[in-house]
Parts: sequence; C-alpha cells; structure tokens
Amino acid sequence: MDLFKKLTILADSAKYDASCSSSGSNRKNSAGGIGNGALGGICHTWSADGRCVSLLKILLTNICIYDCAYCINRQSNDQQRAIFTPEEIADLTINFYRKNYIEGLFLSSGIVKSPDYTMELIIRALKILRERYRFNGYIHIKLIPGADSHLLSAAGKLADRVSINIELPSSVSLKRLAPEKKSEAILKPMKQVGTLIAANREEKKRIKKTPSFVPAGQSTQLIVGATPESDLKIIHLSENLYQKMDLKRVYYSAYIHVNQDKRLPLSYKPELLREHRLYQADWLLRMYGFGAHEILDDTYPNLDQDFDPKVSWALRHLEHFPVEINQADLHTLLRVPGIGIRSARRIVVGRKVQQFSWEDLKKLGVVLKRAQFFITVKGKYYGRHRINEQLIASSLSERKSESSDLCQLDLFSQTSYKKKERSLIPSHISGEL
Amino acid sequence: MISFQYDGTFLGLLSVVYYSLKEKVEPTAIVTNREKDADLFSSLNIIPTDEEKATQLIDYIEEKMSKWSLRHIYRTFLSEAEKRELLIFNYVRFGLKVGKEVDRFLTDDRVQMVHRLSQRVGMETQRMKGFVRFAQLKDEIYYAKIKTDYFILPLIAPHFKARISDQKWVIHDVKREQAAFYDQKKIIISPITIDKTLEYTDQEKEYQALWRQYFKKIAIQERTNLKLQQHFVPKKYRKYLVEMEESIV
Repeated sequence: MDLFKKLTILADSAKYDASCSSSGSNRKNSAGGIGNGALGGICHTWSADGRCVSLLKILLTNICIYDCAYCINRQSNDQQRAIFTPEEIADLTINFYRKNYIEGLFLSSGIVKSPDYTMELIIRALKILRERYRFNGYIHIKLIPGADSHLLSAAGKLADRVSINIELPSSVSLKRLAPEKKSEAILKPMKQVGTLIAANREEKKRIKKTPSFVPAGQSTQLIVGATPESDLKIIHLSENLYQKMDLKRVYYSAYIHVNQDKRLPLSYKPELLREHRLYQADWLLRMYGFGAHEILDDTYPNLDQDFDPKVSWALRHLEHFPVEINQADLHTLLRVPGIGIRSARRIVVGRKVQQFSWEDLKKLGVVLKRAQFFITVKGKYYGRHRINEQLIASSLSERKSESSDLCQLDLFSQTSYKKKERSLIPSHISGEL
Repeated sequence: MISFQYDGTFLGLLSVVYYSLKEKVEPTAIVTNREKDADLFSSLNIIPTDEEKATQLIDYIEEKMSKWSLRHIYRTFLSEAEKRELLIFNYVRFGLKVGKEVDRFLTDDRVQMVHRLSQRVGMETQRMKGFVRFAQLKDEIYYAKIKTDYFILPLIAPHFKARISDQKWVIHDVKREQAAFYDQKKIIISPITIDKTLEYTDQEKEYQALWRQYFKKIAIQERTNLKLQQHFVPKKYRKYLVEMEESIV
C-alpha cells in the first residue's frame, strides 16, 4: 500500500480525537536540529468542521484487537486497515514540518498484537524523530492502556504531552461499551505518569539541565452522549482529574453514531450544544475559580441549554450582585457574566490610575449586554431591569422565542436564519485556548 | 503648522520624535518621503535619520516607560496605518510624562489607539506563524508567499530562524514586494523581484498532495461548520494556503 493510501485511511480514523493542542512546551531547538516548541501553541489551519489543525494527527494503525462499541476502528468492523512504519511517520512529520504545515505530531493507535508491541512501535517512531532527525517540535502521543510501565516512562522522555483517554464518564459505562478496557488500566498509567511528571519538576528545580519529562503535561478525552451520565457527574469527574491527577486538559467529544450496536443510543445527531456547554463549564473550573459543586448540583444536574454556565450560576445567585466595577477584586469580577479573563484583568490593571465610567467599559471589552444586570459603575446601576431573575433571564436567554423568529422570517428570511445559526454555533475546540 | 518628513524607517521616525520632543514642537503631520500629499500650507521639514539619537530614544523609552511600551510602538509602526506616526508621537510624549504607568491608561485615546494597532499586528503575526507555507524549490530553497494587512515580516522572521535554522528560506510579502531571506546564518529583509519561473521539486508536489488529502480527511463530516472555519481562516489568506480550495499554489 502506498503512502497516500495509508495517510487517507489513518487520518480518517484519527479524526475523532478532539485534542490538537500544541501548547505548554517551550522545548528549544538544538545545534544541527530542527524545530522548537511554542509555549502558547500555534494553529496552522482549520478544517471544514471549524476545528484547529495544529499537529499531524494520525494513527500508527487502525488495526485493533479490541472491540469497543463506539469506536470506528473496532475489530468487528469491516473496513480497510493500514499500518505505518515508524520511518514513514517520522518522514511525514519532518517534511510537513519543514513546509510549516504543522507544529508537530499527535500519534495515536489501535492496538496491534498487544499493548506492549504497539507502544514499542510508537516509541520507535519517536526515537527516529528525536534522535535521527533531532526534531525538537511538539509531540503528543497516546499511551496505550495496559502497556508495560517501563514503556510508558520511555515514551514520556520523548514526548511533550501524553494522553490516555478515559473514553466514558463512568466505569460502569466503560464495562458495558468497552469490555476489554479496564478503568484500572486507564487510571493506573495516568497516575504513574503524573507521579513521574511531578518528580521531574522537582528534579528540574535542583538541576536545571535535567531532561524534560512530558513538559506539556497530560490530557484526556471522554465521549458525551453515548451513555446516560449527567453533566454533574462529568464535571465532577473533570474537577477530580484536574485536582487529583494534575491533568492539563479534559476534552469532551459529542458522541457520533458510527456503528450499529444495540448497546448504543440511536441518536444520529451529535449533541454539539451540550458539548459546547461542557467546554464552557470546563473553562469555569480551570480559569475562573469555580468549583464543580457551584456550577451544578443535585437540583440542577445538567447544564442549561439556554444560558452559558456562568449566566446560569449568576441567575441562581443574584444575592452576590451587583458588584462595583471600580472596587471588586479580580476573583469577583471573573464571576460577572460578560466579563472575561482579559477584561477582568484590564479593569484591575487600569483601575490603579483611573476610575472607570460606563462608557469606558465597552472600550475594555466588557460585554455590556450581559454585564449590565450584574454591576454598578461608580455606584450607579445601569441595567435595563431591576435585579430580578425572570426579567434578566428573559433578556439573556440564547433561545430565540418562536414568535420573534416568525416575524423576522417574514421580513428578512435569509438573515434571520443566519442569526439563529450563529447563536447556536458551538465554539471551536481549540487546543490553543 | 509643522510637518516633518522622514525616510520611512523606524529609526527615521524615532529621529523625528526625538527632535520634536527636544525642540518642544508639536508636529501636525509626520510623513515619509514616499508620500506626496504632505500638507502644502505648512512648512515641510526634512529630518535626517540619526541612528545614535534614535537608539538613545529607544533606551530612554525602555527605561522610562517599559519594554512592553516599546513593543507597542514598534508594532504600531509596522501596522502602516494612516497617521501612525502622530499616534506614536503622542503616545511617547504622554508616556514619558506619566512613566511606567502609561499602559494602565486603557481608556485614554493616546494609549488606546496604539494598543489597538499593536494588538492587531500581534494577532496577524500569530496567525502567520501558522499560515506560512514553504514550498521546496529545485535549488534547495524553501519559498513562501504571504499577503498580509500589516508589515509583519520583521516579526515572523526570527520565529522561523529559531525553528528551521538548517534550511535556506525566503518569505515573500507580495503586497509590499519585500522578502525575508535566510541563508542558514542570518536574516535580511529587502525588496524582491522574481524574474524567472520558480521550479518546484517533484517531492514538493507529492507532499502537497499528501497534505491536501490529510486536510480533507481530518474533518468530521457530521460536524461541518464552514462559517466557523471562515472565522478562523478568512478568505483573504487562503490564496497561499496549499490545503484550501481557493489556493492558487
């Protein structure tokens, strides 16, 4: 089979992996070498689904000895199989990199022969890149569940990021849909790598020249909508992964119906809005100082379709509002709907030399349409309504009421569709954010 | 009404700023020697570039304001925006007065205008670090064409030097007919003319085909979202992106 054919098959089978991040590593180029890491990551293009393409994301092989219900590459599927040689992977990566198509490689794989055998092939490809080509660009690899722990630590010395996919939000679901994958075989290596990363960090503090071990950290991915877990369950899981396992990112991937299997839901439409809301909640966990218990609880076990999770939280906690823009601390500002990380920081930085007025806030990037109900500016409240949950909720709902849609349809049938589409576009899954 | 003319270089502009601050004059226009429409009613003073004075001013800005302020100034200069020279003059004058705090005056026009331009230039720079596409020519040079709103060559060239230091490359800014040339040692930015047809290696065509195929296959059909794609890859950049349908490569 020629290279073109192999690439066709093995890119096609790799596309369901959400991550494409190339951030978190600032590996330097070496004398006579090629490549370096860009700490913030670089996107090189965006595919037709609006997802960022940063790394050459391919499978070593789509041959697999397992038969996971949701997976396109499962053993019982009748489809064309291919396998790259480690040399082919290294050559593709280097040549794409020299033309600046990519930031590096994201190598994953089906399980061929055994977990150890697969892991060894992956390591061989990485060795060719790092040692023969002296490649210092970004490398992300999948760890193969069940592979020997020596292989995992060998791989970690060559990669910038490693990931092992949790796949499903509970061990019950995993058992049902991926009977050959044991949750133990997923969590154990994750823990092992976490310990090695922490040890390497300590070592680096003492001896600066210590070679890096997975400098960009670990990530994972889980499928949303294939099994019945609530959003509450999912974000608690994520919070645990961030806090206890020190993961850098958790990716969520709306379940896409690729196999006929009676264990799977019949839905043909991926739940993109739900996935989008989970990413928003994930941001609140990682960047906005929220705890999972604040975002959802047993009374509200699922994220609201009509509001982003921050608005939804604020509506349930109007007792915290309004806050004074010229006084509230960063932590408090970050909790105001319509104020993002950038504008919160700008407010805090700028406040030292001036008092902000209502007009100033727009210049700072505050989204007043949302923020107006939750703030005062120099003591004055500018919101269109009093602080009242129903009134604010009706102003901020992202769902268009049917009647207003109809009336727009009459007047500007084209544009009204566009508008509606835009409000429901799930934001991209970008590795770089 | 005082108009100044400079040679269009960054150090040239800083020479004007230096002169104006020192002589305590307020320029009403600062134009390059390529602009013909210098205000006819005011006296046009040609200020020669004084590298020493300009460098002194750079050090002074870094010390009194900050290296971030200097970065904003340089990026604003590279934006080639109309009247950028006066914006820079006003920002520097204000900055030298208020000192290190200057970049906290986020709603002051003198600061905001410079920040905005600087940010736009920064964004396009980041974008182009991803969008440059080198093609391998028969004489072992990697050649890329770009068409950008701002003159970002000086900002992206060091990035590629650090990254691919073992190959010769040229990044050709077709809008300005300028190019960054790298000879495995140093970068030179200068005007470029191409008087022969460029010949690509066979391997080049093969890899372009592989990349296009990869690009097609990596998209998930059920999630097609061309609008979102266009938000990230505006049409104006697609001409030189091998993988895009609009590509002319």
